[in-house]
Amino acid sequence: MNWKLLAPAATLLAACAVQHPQNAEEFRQYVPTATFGKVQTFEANRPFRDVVKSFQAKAPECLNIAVRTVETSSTSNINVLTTYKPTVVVNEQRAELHVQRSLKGNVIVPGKPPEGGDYFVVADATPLDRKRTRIDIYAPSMGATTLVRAITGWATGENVGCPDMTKR
Amino acid sequence: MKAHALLVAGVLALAAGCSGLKTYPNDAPKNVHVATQTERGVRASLHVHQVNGECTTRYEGTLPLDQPALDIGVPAGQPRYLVVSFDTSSFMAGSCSTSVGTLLTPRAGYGYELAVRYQKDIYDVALREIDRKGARRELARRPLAGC
Repeated sequence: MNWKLLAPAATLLAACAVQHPQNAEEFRQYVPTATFGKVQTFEANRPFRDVVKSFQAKAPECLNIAVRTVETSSTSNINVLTTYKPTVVVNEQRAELHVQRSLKGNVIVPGKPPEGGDYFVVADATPLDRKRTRIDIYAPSMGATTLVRAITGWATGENVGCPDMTKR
Repeated sequence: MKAHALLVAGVLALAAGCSGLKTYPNDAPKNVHVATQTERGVRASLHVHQVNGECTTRYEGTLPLDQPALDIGVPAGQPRYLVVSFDTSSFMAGSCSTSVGTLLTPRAGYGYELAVRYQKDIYDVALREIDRKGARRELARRPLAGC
């Protein structure tokens, strides 16, 4: 993988590394203020309970995964294992999907990340009425495009596939 | 989690050392129909592993999923670990491999349908069991750790 593709994500990670939001709420507050942070909001034409079922089914199925990135050239040698950890928290008012990730290998992450790794993406589902659900996704503006598209598909029910986490 | 990591690492190793791949014999009675939908530039493959009583695996072989339909034979009553890998390659991103695996012990007299799809960096692998009357039942993905 070309290291240049990792630069934006690494930049956000570096920014995160300084602050290291320690929980999902801190991450929600952090993302709108971050240079490479983005909050996306939309309405899904699905009942809240269906969105919850999708999150509960797809998150462990698709995101309990580790990705190894290897690049060897005459000037660099990158070997990083990225481990993702999904968590779904549900109550009557809201369902939350947290995706954390930790990096191991020849990478330096200053500071102390929370247990389970730095928060990477947080998606909230809130019931609007019996048939509609509001979705808020907090994520990097670059580097999480595929994951955000997958979560969007789970929420709308239009695409229930898994994101290829080797893609950004 | 560890199983997934090992799986990814294992398939990456397989992909890296292509000389280690061999063709799956596919000489058992055909009981698994594989339907594949991939976009250009994605190479899908099916890797078949025997599973013994101690949950260790022995690699049997690989079949390219380069056609929309493929029928394969997996011996009934014997557990197999089926791994579908998606390999992509581009000038900017280099080579990437993603894989997903599930345990399957085919039942005699039943058919199976493996639906494999990869489009726009989203993949889906679904396994269904088909009884004698043609009724389909979705099988949940079973990791190797749960064998």
